[in-house]
Amino acid sequence: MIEENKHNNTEKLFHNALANMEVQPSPALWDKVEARLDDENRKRPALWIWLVGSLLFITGAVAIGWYFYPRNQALREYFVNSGVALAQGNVAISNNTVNTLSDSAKISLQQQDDSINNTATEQAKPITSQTIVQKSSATSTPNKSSANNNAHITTVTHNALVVPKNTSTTYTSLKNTPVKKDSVTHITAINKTQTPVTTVANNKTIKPVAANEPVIAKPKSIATKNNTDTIYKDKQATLSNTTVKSTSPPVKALVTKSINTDSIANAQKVVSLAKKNDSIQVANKVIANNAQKKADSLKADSAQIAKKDSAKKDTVKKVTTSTDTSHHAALPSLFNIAIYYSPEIARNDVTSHSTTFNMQNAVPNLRYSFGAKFSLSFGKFELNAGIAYSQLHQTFGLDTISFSKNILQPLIINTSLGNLAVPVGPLMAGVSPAPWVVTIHDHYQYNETVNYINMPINARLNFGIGKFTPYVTAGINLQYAISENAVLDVIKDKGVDLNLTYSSLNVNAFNIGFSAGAGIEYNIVKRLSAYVEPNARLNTLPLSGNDKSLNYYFGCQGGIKLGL
Amino acid sequence: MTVTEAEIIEGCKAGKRELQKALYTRFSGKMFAVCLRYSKNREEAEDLLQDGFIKVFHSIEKFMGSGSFEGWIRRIMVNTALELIRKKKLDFSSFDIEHVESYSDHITDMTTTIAENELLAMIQELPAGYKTIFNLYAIEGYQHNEIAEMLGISEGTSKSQLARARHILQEKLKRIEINYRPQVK
Repeated sequence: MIEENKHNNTEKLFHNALANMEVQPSPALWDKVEARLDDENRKRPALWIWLVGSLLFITGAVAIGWYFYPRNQALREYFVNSGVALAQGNVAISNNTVNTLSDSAKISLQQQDDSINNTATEQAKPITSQTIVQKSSATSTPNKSSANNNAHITTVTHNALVVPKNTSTTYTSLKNTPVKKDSVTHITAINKTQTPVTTVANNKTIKPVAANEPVIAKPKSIATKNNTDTIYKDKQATLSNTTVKSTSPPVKALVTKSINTDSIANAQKVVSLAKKNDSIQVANKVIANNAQKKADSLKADSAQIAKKDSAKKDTVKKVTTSTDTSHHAALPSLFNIAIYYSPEIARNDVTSHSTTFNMQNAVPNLRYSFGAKFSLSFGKFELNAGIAYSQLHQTFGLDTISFSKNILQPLIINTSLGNLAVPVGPLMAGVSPAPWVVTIHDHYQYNETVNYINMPINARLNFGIGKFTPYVTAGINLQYAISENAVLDVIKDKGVDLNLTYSSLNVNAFNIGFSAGAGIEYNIVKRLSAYVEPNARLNTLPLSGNDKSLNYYFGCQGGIKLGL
Repeated sequence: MTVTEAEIIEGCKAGKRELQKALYTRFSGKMFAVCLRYSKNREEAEDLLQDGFIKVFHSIEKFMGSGSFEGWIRRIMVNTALELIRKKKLDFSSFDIEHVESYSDHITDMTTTIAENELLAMIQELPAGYKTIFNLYAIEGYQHNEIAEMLGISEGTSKSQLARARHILQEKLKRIEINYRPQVK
């Protein structure tokens, strides 16, 4: 009982003295509290903002991909092979009446010969009968895929009889078909019974086609591409209603999905206008001569065409597109999604002021990223945008620390995240009695972690499309630090182990980086490929506010890509 | 004009800075004393006080008005201190209570003669585990079972650590008492 009272007395003494004691902190402390409140107020936007932003970003990417996604296989193939060949997509046009090449009337899509005189002016071009001319309205940059460069099909149907009323010739699949630069195609309707006809091409040539004469199609394209009787190729041809401007330099006649009597009538008007043009007739003669010369050299090819024509005697009701993709690599999808993992390595610059220590087991800043990215593939060119989670990690160990016995200041360790202060108390705990210079054999294990959300946006250039596709890429990376943490585990030789956590590390939350890399993509199966991409990145800001060094990384991204 | 406690609470809930400062001004003295008891020195205590007030401002929306506001803030301060202790992985290894030396019996005679700050310094000088348990038991008024739960230790450990702390403090008090004895000329 007496003992208990003594206990109580001791505790009562302290309780009475200290329970309601007041000690004023330093006046500057409120400023620190206020600064932290300010910091947290303007700190990170809530997680939901990031989620909504990411969702909008992904939705936007999908929408863009969907909008630009070519519905036509020939177009998609063109994207893939745009740098290789022109005539992968074929269009066969025929009709009950205007049928095969060897019959009374023919519609032929001729690709312009390389020898076409590119400098010929529009004014010199006659508008003649029996000619359907598909021409590009683009002037000098026909390879752009923008809508501004839509090509048009100019239709001049002199002999309206060859295109019966209500004959439906469907061009639906040609809409927005891209074409290669300078590839101008003629669609020529020929009636055996008519006078020799002339084909007019955009800025290119005047090509007469005589009745009963084998169709002079471009031999090269036909022979090499295995085209059918009709070859179609032009830059983003848009086929629309047949409206003819006979007097203006660009002969613009638009072919609709169906060539009806109105279009025929329009065409007849054009022809009549054209006939009044003397210069056209002069040009016709010149061209006829040239054509005759060419005819001989192209006989073999023409014969080959005729052979193929005979195999296609059957009437085709409507325009069809045919695609032969068997001879080249699997077709990459326009819209792709990829998931990837990317380890990165950065510098290591752990130092300390006023205290010596032997650092062991230090490793550089390591970072890894998990992400998903979406890409729009235009064959050689790709546009990537993604979202990724990254974690930066650094660790080091200290096994021996030496400092003055009278150390009053905390042990400051400068890390890439900021200054890490080990208070004197924990540092000295268990060290007694102390000599003039204290050497502690405690083990300090430091671990720092920063978590990021990234939005990489990159452009990619492929060098050929095949089983293996090498490429280079460059872009920007938007980075946001969502949290950071540093822990110092002190495993003391004497005394109690400590675990010190530092939460205010002054990491730069927002950062923009520029990245570049080169990689190779391996096509595993159709629409599925894997890639590996060594890269480098330089951030515009240091890792933290206390850090002045260049913030750069070297990494290697590996991923799986799926075509949608 | 004096701001009432209710106004301070409402203002802090609305995030008004001037009322946050009013809260700080009103309670920082008492809470700093609490922090000092759980710390080794002023710097450590100021860090604790900072963290504690940040938590107060963050969680003031949860304060429903039932009970003492000061008591609520004090609990946050104490919990902040305990959180740090848990992070430091303090070793509360059991100390055999039977090995505690007998106490000096002249403690009660000198209670009024020792300044508060000296008592505070005695507590601060205690090893972290002893200090924590003594604070929780003797000053905050928690029972051993509560302390055991709060710190994740056994009740026996809490008791033994308290006994050891008490013993150390009594020894210190005894030394101080000797110093306080008038010099015999």
